Parts: sequence; C-alpha cells; structure tokens
Amino acid sequence: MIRVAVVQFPGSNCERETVAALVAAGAVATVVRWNAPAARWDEFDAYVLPGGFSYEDRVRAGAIAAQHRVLDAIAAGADAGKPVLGLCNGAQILVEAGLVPGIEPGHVEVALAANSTPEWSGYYCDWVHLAANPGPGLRAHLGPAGALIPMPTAHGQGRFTARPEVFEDLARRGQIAFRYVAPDGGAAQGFPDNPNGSCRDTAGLCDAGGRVLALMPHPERSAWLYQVPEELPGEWGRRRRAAAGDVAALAGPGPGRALYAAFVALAATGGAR
Amino acid sequence: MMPLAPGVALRDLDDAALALGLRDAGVQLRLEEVRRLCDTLGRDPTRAELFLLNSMWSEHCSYKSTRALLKRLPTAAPNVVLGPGADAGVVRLPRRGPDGRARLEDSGPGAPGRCVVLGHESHNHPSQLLPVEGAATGIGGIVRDVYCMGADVVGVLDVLRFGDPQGPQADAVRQIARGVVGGVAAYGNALGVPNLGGDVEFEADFDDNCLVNVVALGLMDEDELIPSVAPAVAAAESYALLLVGKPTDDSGLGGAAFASGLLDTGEDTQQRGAVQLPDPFFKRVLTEANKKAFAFLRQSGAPFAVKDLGAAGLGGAASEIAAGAGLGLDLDLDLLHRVRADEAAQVLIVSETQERYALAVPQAAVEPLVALYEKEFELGAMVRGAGARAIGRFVATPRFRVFQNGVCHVDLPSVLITEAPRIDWPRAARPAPAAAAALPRPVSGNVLGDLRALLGSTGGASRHWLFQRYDCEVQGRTLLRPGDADAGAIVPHPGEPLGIAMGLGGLARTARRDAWRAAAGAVCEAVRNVVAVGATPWALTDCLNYGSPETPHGMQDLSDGVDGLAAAARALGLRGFPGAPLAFVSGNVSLYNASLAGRAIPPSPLVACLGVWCDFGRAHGVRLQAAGNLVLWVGEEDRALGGSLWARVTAHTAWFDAGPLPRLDLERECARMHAVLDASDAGLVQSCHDVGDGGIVMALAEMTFARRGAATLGVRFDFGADETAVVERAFAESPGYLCEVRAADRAAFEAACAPHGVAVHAVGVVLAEPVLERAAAGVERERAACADLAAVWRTGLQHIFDAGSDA
Repeated sequence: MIRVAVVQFPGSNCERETVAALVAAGAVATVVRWNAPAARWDEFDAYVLPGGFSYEDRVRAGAIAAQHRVLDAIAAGADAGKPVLGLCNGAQILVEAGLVPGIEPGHVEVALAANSTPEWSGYYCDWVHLAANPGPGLRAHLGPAGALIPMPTAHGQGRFTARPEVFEDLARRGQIAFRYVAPDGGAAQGFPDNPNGSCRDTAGLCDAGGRVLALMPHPERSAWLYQVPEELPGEWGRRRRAAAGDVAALAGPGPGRALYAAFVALAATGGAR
Repeated sequence: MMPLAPGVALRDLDDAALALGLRDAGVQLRLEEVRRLCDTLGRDPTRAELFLLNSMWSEHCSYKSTRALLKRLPTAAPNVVLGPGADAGVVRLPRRGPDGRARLEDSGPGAPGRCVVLGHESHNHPSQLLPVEGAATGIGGIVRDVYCMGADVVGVLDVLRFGDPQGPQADAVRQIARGVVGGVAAYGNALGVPNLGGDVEFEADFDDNCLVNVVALGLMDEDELIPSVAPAVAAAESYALLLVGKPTDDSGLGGAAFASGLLDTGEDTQQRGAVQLPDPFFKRVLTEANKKAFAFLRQSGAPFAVKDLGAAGLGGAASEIAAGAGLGLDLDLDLLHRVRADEAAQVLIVSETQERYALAVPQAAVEPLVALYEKEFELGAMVRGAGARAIGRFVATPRFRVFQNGVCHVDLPSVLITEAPRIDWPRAARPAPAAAAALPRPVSGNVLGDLRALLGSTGGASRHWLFQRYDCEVQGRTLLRPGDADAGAIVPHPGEPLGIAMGLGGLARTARRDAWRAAAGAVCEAVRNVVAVGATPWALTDCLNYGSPETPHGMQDLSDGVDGLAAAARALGLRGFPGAPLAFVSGNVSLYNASLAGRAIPPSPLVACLGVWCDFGRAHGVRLQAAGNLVLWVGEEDRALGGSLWARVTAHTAWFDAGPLPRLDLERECARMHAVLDASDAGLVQSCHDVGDGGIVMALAEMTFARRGAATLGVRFDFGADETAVVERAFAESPGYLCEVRAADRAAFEAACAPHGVAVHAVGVVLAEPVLERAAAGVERERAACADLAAVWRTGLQHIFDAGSDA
C-alpha cells in the first residue's frame, strides 16, 4: 500500500476530503502536522499539500509555509523520487518554496498572483475544466481521462505569472502540466474558462520530471459523482444527470478521482526517476 | 479575604442623577434594574460588576423581554436531542437499519444516533457600523457555538437584508452590502466551512440598520455531546476553568449591550469599539487543537464542559458554565493571558475578544491540555500570547468571584448574573388594516416584458454573483450548491445514502402588513425550500429581528410573530411522527433594529429549516431535465398581487400597498408538503422549484436558467384563454410548487397528491429549444430567448457589487 502524508499547516482546511480522495484511490493517507519530528516524514511514499490558508496568507499565499523546515523534508523526498502534489494553497507553497517549476531548485521562478481578468477579480469559486498537456510523471498515468477533467476552483491568488519568456520556456519543457480549457475541451476563451487570468491558461505547473505538481483547482471536490453539478456541460454532466435517483451511482467516482489514481500509481513506481 | 473594589456610588442617587451616572459609566441598564441590584447586594456595585451585568442583563444575553414569549414555540419532538437553551440545538438523524438503509421513523430516543447541531445568530448592529468585521465575527460567533457542543461545522448560511441600493443612501448601502459579503466570504472561506446558501433582500427600511443573520450546522455523534455547564462533580472534586485561545484584549468591549440598544451615529467611534475583531485563520488551528483536546478528555472518562466566549466575553461564559450547574467560580485575572498586563478587571471580564473557549476540566487534565494547545499546536506562534491557562476553580458555594491584584472585583451570586429581571412590556394591537381595496384588474399583454423587468430587479436577479464569492464546496460533501436548488445540501457521511438540506425563509417586502403572517410565512417558505429538493423538513431555527420592544405596537408585532412561528411549526408537523411538531431547536432575538429616525424595521422573523433524505439519490434541483416533460403546479390560484415583486417592479403601487396578499393556509400548506414529498419519494419528480418572488413565470424562467443562467431547455406555458387573468396567474405569489414530471408519470403524480386532497394543474411543457413561450389556450402569444432573459438576470446585482470585486 502506498503511504501518503497529507501535510497540515496552520490554516490548512482541506485535509479531510483530500485524505478521503487518496483513500478512494487506494492509498493509505494520514494527516501529519507541520511540526512533526523530521524522521516522521521518511515513513511516507508521497506527500500532498492540501488547500487552505497557511499562515493566513501573510506576505503572499504560501510564502511563510514555504520557509518551514518541513519543506526541506519534502524537497528531500522529491529528490528521492517521491511524488508531491500541492493543491490550491499547497500549490502556492510549492511555488514559493521553489520546488515548482524547479528549473533552478530553491528559486522562486513564477508567482501566483491575485486573480485578475477583465470580467472578474478577487476570490472566485466555481467549476472549471482542465486538460493535461502530454508529459512524463503523473500525467503518464492519467491516460485518456486527462483529456478533460472538470473540477471546482476556489481561490483569490491563482494566476500563474512570470515574464512571458519564462512561460514559453516552461511550455517548451512540457512543465505546463494542466491548462484551463473550454467545457468542450477546446482552448479557453478567457473568463470564466480561465477563471484567474493565468498565463497560458496554466492551471497546474510541474517540475521537469512531472512528479512534483502545483495545481490550483480542487480534484478532491470532484472525486465523487455526487459532487458534480448537474448542469455541467459534457460527458460528466451527462453521467451526473443519468445517475439521478441512483444513490450508488452518485457515490461512484467523479472526474477528479483520475488525478488521485494517477498520483498513487506514480508513487507505486517508487524512486524511479 | 480580599478587599472588595470600591463601589460605584449609585445607591443614593435620585433618578435623574442615576441616569446621568449610568450614562457616564457607559452602562445601559435601566434604572429599576440598578435599584434592584443595589437592594439585593445591600451595597453599591463595583465597576466590574456593573460592566458584567450591563452585558449579561442586556437583551442580547438575557432575552429579558422575550423569554416568556419564546416559551410558546414548540421545541420538543421525538428527533430533538437538545432544544434551545444551550449554545446550539441538537437533532437526531434517522438511524440506519440492519439493511443499511435509514428510516425517518427510527430517529426517536434510544440508542445514541448521529446528530446535526444547529445554531442561528444575528450580527446586525456590528455589521451596520463595520460591515466586514461585523459580518465576519457573525460567522465566527455562530460556528463557535456549534463547535463547543462537540460538533464539526459542515456548513453556514446567511440571511442578509440591505437598504435600497438606489435610494437616498445608495452609497452607504452598497458599501455595507459589499463589506458584509466580503466579511462572510473572508471568514467562512478561510475557516474552510462551505457556504450552503443565502438569502438577500434590498428594502429602504434597512438603510440605517442592515440585518446579518447567520446559521451554522455541524455533525456529531449523540454520545459525544459536550455539556455547556460544569459537571456536578466539580462541587466536590478539584475542577479548573481553562481558558483557551487568543489573549484577552479590549476589543468588542460591551458588544452585547451595544447590540441591545439603538444605533447612534453620534457615538460612532465609541460604538465601533464594541465590534469584535475576527481571526478565522487562528480559529481553524484552534478548532483542530480543540478536536484533539476533546478526544483526550472523552478518553480520560472524567466529565467536562465547554462553552464558547461570545457575548459578554469571559464574564458571560464563566458565570454561565458555573451557574447552570448551581456552582460558584473563583476567577483569578492575574493568571489570564492578556495583551496588556495592566488592563482593568472590568475590561478583561466583558471584552469580546474572539476565538476563545472556556473549558471546565479536572485539575489533573490541565497540564496535558496546556501542553497540547501550547506545544503541539503552537498557538502562541500563530498569535502572540495565545494559549491555554487555568484561570479559575469551581467551588460549591454558588458565588461568582473575580480577583485581580489582591482585590475582589466581582462577588455576586452566580444566578444573579445569568437570570436578568424579566420585563413584560405592554402590548397594543395595531389598528386593523383596511380591507383589501377593490382594484381594477391589472392587464398586461406583455408578460415576458414584465418578466424581464423582474429578472433584472434587485429582488429578482440572480444571486450567483454573491455565491461565487463564497467557497461552497470545501470539505467535499456538497451535493446541491447555492443556486442549484431551493435548498443547499450535503452528504454528511459519504459512503452512506443519508443526505441533509438547509432552506431559508422570510420576506421583508410584505412583513409590515401582517406580523403574524410574516412569521408563519417565513416558516412555510423555509419548509417549501426544503421540500422542493425532496428532503423531509426535520427541524427549524429562527432569528427574530424586530424594533424596540418598548413600544406597545412593536411588542405586539413580536408577540404575533412568535405565535405565527409556533402555529406554522405545529401545523406542518414532523413527517413520520403524527402529532409531533416541526421543532425549533435554536434561535436568537435581535431587538432595537430601527432607522435613525426611530422607525422600526419591518418585522423580520427569519427562519432556517433542516431537511433530511434517507436516500439522497432522490434530491432534485431547479434545473429542467428533458424536453417533453410536463411542468405541474401544486398550488391554488387566488390571484393575489398585493405585496408582490411584480407590483413593486412594475410600479403598480396601489396593488402593492393595498392589493390582497396571497392566502396563507397552514393546513393546505401541510397537505402540499406531504403530496410533493410522497411524489418525490416515489421518484416522480425530475426537478422542482417553489413558487415565490415573481410567481409562476419567474419560477419557470429560473428552472430554465438553473444556477448559472446557461439554459439548454425551454418551457411553453399556458394560462388559458382568459387574457384578463393572465397577469394575476403569471405573477401572483401564491405558495406552491412547480414540479417537472415525465408525461408518462403524470397519472402517478396526481395519484400521489390525491390522498392529500391536493390539486395539480399542468401549466407548461418542457421544450428542446431554450425559449420561454407563452400561449393562451394553445395559441402562441409571446416568446423570448432564455439567453436574453438570463443575461438580464445574471447581471441584475452587478451595479451594487461590481466595485467591490476584490472582497
């Protein structure tokens, strides 16, 4: 069994559902507090940094947590090939810690800026559609499910940004792991497809090996079919509507489950890097 | 024996001097209350005692004007574990049978079940003065009430009433509305509690006094319920009062008393100091620490109690946790963790510093608990000076004493603090309203044009803009999000078929015309919103927002309101338990809500209803499902346009003011409830929307729009050949339901309704094309594209909120 630590920082608030989604994907998942003894982190095969508001988003979202010594343990694990998934605030922490994109490890190379589009700025909560760009690591385990994964997003600072040439470079290196797309899978047409004005419609950025992923939306809120809104366009909306009246079907997997399954499958490949 | 602090010389003053003395001391107690206090004590009260009683005998804490009235509410039913009185109410969910399925009937007393904990709170006055902080601490306070029962908070809802965003105070109204929404969002989002629904109205009556009511719901096992009063054993064994959380400062000073009087802009700055400061981030860490602390205490086997620090701060929580058990408490302020070492006793005991809890625990548990809060969870690293300290010990003598620096600042009988002298204000019925005027029938050949106006109005526009500011999906349990349906819903125990829903009710627009009806109608609306998703109404909470009880008409409104709530709750009843009422398990009263000119707000009894499904697969939203289905109306025509959104928006003022209000018949309401639930249980309802603001046509439009206004289907509706009746049929707000039913299921649906004596009328058919089409006896009269209508509906609130988009 793959053992996953869900890292609880002061202010994390998505631990419960993240553990549940990992368990549903076949892992043994445990919430581990930020100040656990250093040796505790060695007991795990993979790490998930869940959503929330670590250290009150002081300075910048994720900036304080990124300085905590627990990130040294996670970086060491990542170096040893253990997969790391940062979701929402967890993504912000990975970016602030320089683990993602990690071209020069330890350097903050991109920013997660405040949401800003002509139509909307500030905190935004609603469903978006993601597609995986081809690449190694976690994405290699996604299979056809990666073509279109609807899930909710809920953040105020999720706009991946840097000088344009940085994102050109990241695209060339295949590190833009997930992008926002239109509900039909086509290119995002601004807001609300891309809810925050993110550079190159980036929803998730990863390290060179695709094993450390910073993803802004919330796959654990899309891991069961009952979580899917019935008006959602496309296949998953159809499945949700077809399950009306059938509580067993509604309790079945939702689109976000595939991401957790891929993460667990990746962890099972061990230190192969 | 420590010396008593000097008294405030009040005893020998005449009325005029006493009134002046109290004002100078910043105390709002009534003269007779102070006289009675001095007589009871046989001395002048100390300043700390005066401050403590000023808060504890305030309307907000003591319910001194309403306690007797509130006894009229039904609060007991087989599914009620704990009614009003503690920090929050507790309702048992249906138990699972051996086959894994839950049954409504199996939720009475017996083996410990799983429970929902409900709290309902108002934060009106603070939100008017400091909207962001006021609304945020409203959420912060109500979740604390639910947490301290031992529950995990799994949802919040908010009911908001703002002034007229286009009226004379438009700028202030918008600023308040934006601030309140920002505060609700900031607190709930950071805490990680999903917002499951809200209700907002804009009326000029609220220009000077907005309403911010919040509801929190939590989940808990029945045998994990934590008492709010110290265990009796604390009289004989060594028990400590452990205060955990932020260090005490002077914020929120006198908040309870402030919320129990009229707002006064002349004292703006002084009153602002009474508003508390929120810290959801710290609360989140504290909540995690509490969970572990409560588990430790449960495992230790010794009884313990927990109380949140809200109104009246430390003095309130500490005296209540002792008095409720007939105990006394010696409190040593020198041991209190506080921001300023030299803060005065009277400030420390009534300041409403947020994010604190009081625990009554065995002395032996103090050391491990302090380590848990301060070392494991590093509270002091989050907020300087935060932590856990044993600051008091329980004593058998029922006196509440507070010491600081070798001086005794409070020495009062415990129950004197918690039992304020009650007041029975005189009442006088308002003059009977004039009989509804005989008005000419409104005629409009342009139903869809009127609809468009309604859709763009503040009363009718989509609330989606607000909903997107709130996290509605954190915790991963969300089944129906705000806007999906008439009620929000979650799956409380994923992996099991149980579901729970929360609906809201209350309408300011017509409330002045009939105080009884406003209250009974609020219950009915909250219940309808739950029934519309297919859930069985399971329990109620209320918040009674009224003006001053000191005017006989105002007090009568309040009395009539309580009667209206009680009548509706009894008439609708608890499904599965014939004869049992739908019980009120929690509530709150907020008085002295008025304009600066002294005009009371409209009676605003705001109600929340919990619903349950034994099988959440039966849940339905408002969104139409398939072309060819029928839209059946479960309701009764009475063509009443008085007080309607239509009359308001189309400026039919005479109709609005004097036209008849829709009939409210509790027996019929109950019959419709049972009919729709029976049909829903049988799987006959594809989607459902209650008929409310804007009547049937508005409801049909919303069924095509669903949450985001992206219609894929349309409706053709037909009110018959009589064009002179069409406006009334289209826009009257007669209570009822629109149910989408497969054509093949129509007979079965009617058969499900028949035993209840409920009539069903076909009003429309679902179209494959996203259009609204009005026909008259089969002849098409009007047609509009849903996309055009939805564009108006989606953007109707933008003018109020768009400048506040960085909330």
